[in-house]
Amino acid sequence: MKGMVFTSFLDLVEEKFGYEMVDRILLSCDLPSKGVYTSVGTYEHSEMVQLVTALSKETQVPVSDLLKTYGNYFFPILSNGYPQFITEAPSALDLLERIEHHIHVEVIKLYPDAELPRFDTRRIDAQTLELVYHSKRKMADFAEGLILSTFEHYKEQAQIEREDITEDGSVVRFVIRKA
Amino acid sequence: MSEIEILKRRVERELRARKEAERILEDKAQELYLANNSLRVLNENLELRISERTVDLTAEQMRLSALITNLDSGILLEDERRHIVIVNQLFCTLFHIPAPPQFLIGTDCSNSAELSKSLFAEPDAFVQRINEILHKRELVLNESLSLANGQIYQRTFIPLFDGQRYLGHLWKYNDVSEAVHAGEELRRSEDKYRGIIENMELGLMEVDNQGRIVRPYPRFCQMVGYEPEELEGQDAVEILLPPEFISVLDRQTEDRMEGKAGVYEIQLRKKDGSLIWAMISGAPIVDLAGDIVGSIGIHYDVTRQKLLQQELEEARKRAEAAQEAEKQFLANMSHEIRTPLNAIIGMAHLLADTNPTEEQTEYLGILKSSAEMLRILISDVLDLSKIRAGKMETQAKDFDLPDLIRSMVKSLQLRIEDKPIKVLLDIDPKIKNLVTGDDLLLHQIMANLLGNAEKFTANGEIKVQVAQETEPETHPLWIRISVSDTGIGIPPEKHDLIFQSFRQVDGDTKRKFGGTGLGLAITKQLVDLQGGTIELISELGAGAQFIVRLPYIDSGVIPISDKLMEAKQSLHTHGKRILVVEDNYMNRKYIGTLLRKWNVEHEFAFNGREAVEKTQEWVYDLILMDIQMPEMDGYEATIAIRNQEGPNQSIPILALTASAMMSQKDKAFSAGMDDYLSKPFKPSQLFEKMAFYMGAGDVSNEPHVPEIFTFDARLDQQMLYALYGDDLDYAHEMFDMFLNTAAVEFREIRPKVETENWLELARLAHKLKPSFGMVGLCSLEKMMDRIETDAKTDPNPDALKLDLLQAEQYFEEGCLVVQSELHRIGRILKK
Repeated sequence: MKGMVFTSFLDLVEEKFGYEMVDRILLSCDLPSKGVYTSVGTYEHSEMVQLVTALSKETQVPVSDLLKTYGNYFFPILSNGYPQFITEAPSALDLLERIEHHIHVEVIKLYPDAELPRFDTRRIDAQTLELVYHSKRKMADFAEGLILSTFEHYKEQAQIEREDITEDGSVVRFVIRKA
Repeated sequence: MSEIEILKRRVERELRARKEAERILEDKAQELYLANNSLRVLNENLELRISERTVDLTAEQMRLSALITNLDSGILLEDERRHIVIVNQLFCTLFHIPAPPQFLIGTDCSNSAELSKSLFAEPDAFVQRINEILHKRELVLNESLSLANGQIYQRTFIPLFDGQRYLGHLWKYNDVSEAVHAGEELRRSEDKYRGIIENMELGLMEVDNQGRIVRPYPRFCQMVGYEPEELEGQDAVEILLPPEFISVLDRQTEDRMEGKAGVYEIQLRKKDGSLIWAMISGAPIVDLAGDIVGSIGIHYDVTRQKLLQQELEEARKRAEAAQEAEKQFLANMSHEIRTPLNAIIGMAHLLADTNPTEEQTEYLGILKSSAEMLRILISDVLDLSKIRAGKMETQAKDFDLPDLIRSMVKSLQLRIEDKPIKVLLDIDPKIKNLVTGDDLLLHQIMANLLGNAEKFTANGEIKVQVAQETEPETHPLWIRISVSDTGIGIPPEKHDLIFQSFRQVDGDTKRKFGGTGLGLAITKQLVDLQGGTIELISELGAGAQFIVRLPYIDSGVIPISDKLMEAKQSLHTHGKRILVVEDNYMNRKYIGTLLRKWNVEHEFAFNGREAVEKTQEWVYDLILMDIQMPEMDGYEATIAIRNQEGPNQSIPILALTASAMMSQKDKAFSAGMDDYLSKPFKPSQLFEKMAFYMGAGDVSNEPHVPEIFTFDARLDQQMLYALYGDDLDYAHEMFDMFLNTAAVEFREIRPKVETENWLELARLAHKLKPSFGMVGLCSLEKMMDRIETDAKTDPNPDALKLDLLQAEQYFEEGCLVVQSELHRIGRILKK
């Protein structure tokens, strides 16, 4: 998992709960990286799971909510870092449709070792998009946060239905209806 | 404190993160540098390859350009804007452009057609066509263009595209004037000769390699009765060839494929179904590339010639069959005629010894001389046929030539004592030695010449001169024999004629002097046989001189006194015993009578087997042996006697042969016989031989005269005599059987002819044929043979009806004769 995800996460924790919380969860976890993250590095996904779980324990906030919030927080980082993807897509649904075959293709060029989730999309009608999330990292909540913030970015309203296809959450179906 | 610690940890974490980030970035930079490096190498390789490709392309272009420049065609390559890319010298020459080709590169050709149009026979059409071609941008191949000066160009246009993009085009021009003119010349010449051949009643036809008719010419069409359009495109074999000639044509077709010509004859089926014979001279047709594209046949109608040829062939076969029949007939004569004739002559001699009355003596004289004449005639005919058949052979032995001539002249002298003719003999004294050659042939030649002189000379002289023309001991020794007379003479224009068979000077001569007219012909052939010559000097009324020249060998031996004469005088037959082996009743009777007359003890054996048995029991002094006998013939019997131990093992055996053929005599000698006597023989001949082998006897005994039944002259007497001899019982039986069976069957012929049942007719005629022979109705026998042959091969109802009519007439007459003879024989048998 790219270092930027870790640094952004810790930035969010510091912003919401103070560096003391950051220090606490880093100490409470047994991390191969010893909690030293740089945005250009790459780290084990299990470290992220440990960090989120630790945060949830400390704050008594459910993991899913934490991830959604994080997704929300992460969108601007992406949109600032790679504005060309945003400008190329005229709407939120367009952008979502382009993730799998356009944005991820470019990401792989930049980071050949990146392990990306898969987003299968299908237009049900002009306003409705079916998006199926596949990832053994099971971070559909993070994805949902990102989706919501996408609509915020385009100043559009949307109604999102979520359905877990597998019990472990590795495959999740979203039906996104633009209002 | 805790805050400080947290801060410391934070700073430491950030410090470490920075270092980690720097390390990662350093690694990335390194990675980038290496990637950059490999990119640069890749780039360099690419540049190298491009420059290599460019060199190749340039070389290729130069080769192409050189090729075009030197091509045997005028080439003009233009780009899409019609600017010249390449042009060669030949193009400039063809279009009368004075500038060197390399100076023209880049020139705009938009107006070139206008500039060169005056060269062409139709200038405007030339320009128009160029524009049309450029507009269409399609391939044009070998388009012919006529020039104003009579030359002919051929043009090819190739548009050049890269996918959809037009790149320009290529013009290719060739001067084909010579080829075209040569082609026309050839065609004119071919047409000329085809025309000539067509006018010569030779039908031409061309076929392709599949045998389809490509070009039927008018004369050929006439020949087979088709219109040209009916033949064109047809399978020649299917439409024209009878199936039996397919194999002939297949062989010819194979030859054509190998480029060979051939002449053959086949039949062709005309449109109306009739067949013609054609002689065909076939040859392969070869195109300009040297490939065989078909064949041409020159047909000549030989139907008439073929028919003529077939008729000739049939005529030849008929003639050959006739010749063969003649030979067969003559051969039979030898055997069948000599035997009874022998008996007639013998009986006449015996009869003369029975104290006949004066009148009877006179009749006997006529009988003897007539029989003798008949014997000579038959001998002549047989000699001639033998010579013709190449069966007469010469035998070389030493003999006393002057002595032979002297004795013959002497005997002539005795014969004509009572005629007013002087006989003169003049023999060259230089001939002292025996000569080597054929004495028998010389004897025959002299007999003929002397006989001839005697016959045609009424008074005056007959002169014989013998001269040796070459020196003694030279080889060959040529002897010239001249026989001259003072007879009627022969006109010079007939000189050649008299040496031909069956020819005499004229019909009158034949009536007056008789004879077969064969004597001189045989003489000439006998002379020829020995390598000699014969010459005639004569004029009508001034006598005749025959000059014979014969080659002999000087033997170098001086003649001694005659053994035969000595033997005759000193030996006698008392106590001698002879075995006569003879199956023929007539001959037995003849010889037996002679031997009794001469008082010679004798015994008979009826065939070879009996002879062998008798020689095992008794001792004999001489055997007279017939050759052809049932059970065991003379040769076999002789061999058996010579091979058995006993007193008769080396007894003299004298062959009695019916044939005068050399081959039979040779066979007799090789079987172990000592001598031969050919039938018919005179009593004196037998006596001489007997005297030679056992000494002469006294001639005193009364001979016994046998009775001979003579058949009616309307029947074939000779045949009946040969069949029955004097076995009248047998003859009676056969005649009776004929009247009871064959005469009835003959009545069945007419219905077969009338219903045209040829198969049955042939069968019946075949069956009846021998029955007629058995009763001596030979003309009917022959008639049946003809009817049988015609019915089998060529049944013609009209001809057969005529034959039948004649046969019926013969039959009625013949039956009456047979009937009366049957009664006559019956009466004799009752006595």
